[in-house]
Amino acid sequence: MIETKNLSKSFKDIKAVRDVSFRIPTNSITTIAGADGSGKSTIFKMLMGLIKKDAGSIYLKNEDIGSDFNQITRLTGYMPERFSLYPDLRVEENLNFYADIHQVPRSRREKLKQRLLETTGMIQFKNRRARALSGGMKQKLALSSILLSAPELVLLDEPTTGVDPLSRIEFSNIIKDLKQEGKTIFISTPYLDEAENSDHIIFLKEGKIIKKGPMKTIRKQFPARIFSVLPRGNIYEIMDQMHRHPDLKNSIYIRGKFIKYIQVSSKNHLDLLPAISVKEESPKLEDIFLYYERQSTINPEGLHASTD
Amino acid sequence: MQRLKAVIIKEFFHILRDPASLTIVFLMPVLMVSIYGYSISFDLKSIDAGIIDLSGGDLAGQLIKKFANNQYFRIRSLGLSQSNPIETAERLLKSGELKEVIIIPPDFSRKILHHPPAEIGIVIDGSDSNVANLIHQYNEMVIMNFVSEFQNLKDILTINTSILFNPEVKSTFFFIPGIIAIILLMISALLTSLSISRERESGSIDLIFISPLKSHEIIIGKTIPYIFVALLDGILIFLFARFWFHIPFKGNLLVLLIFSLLYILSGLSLGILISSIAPSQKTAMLATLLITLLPSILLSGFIFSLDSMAPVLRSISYLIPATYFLKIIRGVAVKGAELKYFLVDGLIMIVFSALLITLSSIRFSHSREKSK
Repeated sequence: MIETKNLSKSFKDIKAVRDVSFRIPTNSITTIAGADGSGKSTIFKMLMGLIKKDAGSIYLKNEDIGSDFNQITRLTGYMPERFSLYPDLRVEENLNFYADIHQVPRSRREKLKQRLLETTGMIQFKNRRARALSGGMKQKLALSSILLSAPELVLLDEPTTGVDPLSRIEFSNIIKDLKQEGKTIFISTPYLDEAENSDHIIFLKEGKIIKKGPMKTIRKQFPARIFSVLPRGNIYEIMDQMHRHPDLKNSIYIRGKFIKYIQVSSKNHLDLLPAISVKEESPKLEDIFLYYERQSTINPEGLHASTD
Repeated sequence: MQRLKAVIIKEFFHILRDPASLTIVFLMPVLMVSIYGYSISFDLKSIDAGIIDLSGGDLAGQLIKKFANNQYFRIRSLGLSQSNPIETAERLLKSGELKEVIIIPPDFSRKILHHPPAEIGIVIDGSDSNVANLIHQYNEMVIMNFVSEFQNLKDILTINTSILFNPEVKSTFFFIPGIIAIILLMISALLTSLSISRERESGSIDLIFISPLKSHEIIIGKTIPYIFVALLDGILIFLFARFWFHIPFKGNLLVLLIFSLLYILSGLSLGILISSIAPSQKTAMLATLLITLLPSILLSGFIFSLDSMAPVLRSISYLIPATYFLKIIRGVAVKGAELKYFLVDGLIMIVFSALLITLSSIRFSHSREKSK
């Protein structure tokens, strides 16, 4: 559906996006994950033509769009990171405004609006002013607005940041439904648990892609083993000690009351950890991301391998 | 102390990191001092006076010469060749082309020499009470000079002065219409000046940028609703002035409404242009106040007559919409002047609005394109 080649962007001395190339296949969910400031929003804005790219190309349906972003904006519903609708307008008024500026025919609009309000659980709030909505509701309103124009491509920039856990689950279900309807979804998130249902994943660090590919392949080709260790003693003191150990410092992190250990090489260093219990787990996306993130720190130039 | 220091330092950061507002804050006093310095003068540099000489005698010629040679007067003869000089004089006073008309009666010379005193009639436009008083003083100065040449004769001339449009020379008749003009411009510009900068701050401008909306649709769409708000506001201010301050209304209400609409449109367009440039709402508001209030108060003829201004400042005053509307509102309300007298002023206001709207659209399109 959409593809980028060597996309780059700098803000003064800061290289926000560096040589980023990826492909978003049609009718799929592609998630771009990375820490805050890793360049996710900049990529979204470049795709929509809201920020001028310094270098690189953007392809839509295999054709270089050059500087004609109308080709993309016509097909796309873009939801920015920050709630950008009108707080003093009611839910329905916001939807109507968005439908009007996108010239959604009245005959189709009412049905679509009703369905979106029902799907997102917003029907009883349709007369409420947007400023009085909760964070999750605001995001659902923003999503509903962009879906009114029936876009083929849906770009969601951190749609669940600051949203309560229940709304996050609802949001995740809505996104799955959108895929069922045939839409192509490109979503950014700092929460890796949300990305578990994606078809494709892109890991971003400091503006650079550190790993990308189909989710199944990424999981299948994951080269390390993950152990969950219940530590004996104070977890923070143990972590402090272990971080000084050259074999462990890039392989452990805290998850709840457990220490997660990523075994990278054939040699296992679990014996260094004072443990009550040790259990091997199948890797979660978070583990996979942290593994590649740590590897990129150890070997910054060695992680260009793509599983595309 | 540490807490207080923290607040002070934080505020300094806010101030220093908003260069646009900071520029306005420092620019405003410099501009004010410069403009005040050059524009504050109650002296009249030129008085456009019409003369109807019904006498045609030598003495009348001498009196006219006295006025013509005086640096403060610009004399225009409303000779008898014109079909109706009185009607012409009235028209020119209404339109503001003349500030006064001096009428020399047919028996002027004979009366001075044989049956003094002779009488001359002077009609002064009283819509600007300050200017009317000054003209009266300047007239007396010239006439005294004329009379002093007749050393042997005493009490040879009486002046019959009448103040047209404002016989009691009330300053409120002059200032209140001016205040209406200034408030209306400020309100109109403020209404729209925040519209784009607010969207820029909230981020909703991005959704507008990527929508199929054309730049001119956004600009015009943002302007039209405020026309009604500003027009209602204008009517409210005018009714207040009319019934509270008893400002006369001698003209046609429809004429005033038409010109008010044009004036409001230029104010709204100015606000939109400011909004399309200002990076934040605060800057937009400060810039609007600076751009609308300062020149309108000092350079539009609200306080200081355009005739008393330095040529450079007078040229600037013609770029201010309030200059034209002030003339219109004073003309229509106080003098009862008709539509025909202000066609050029109305046309200029239309050009202003069209120019400002076009500039705003270009500026908006530019910032839209710049992001791509």
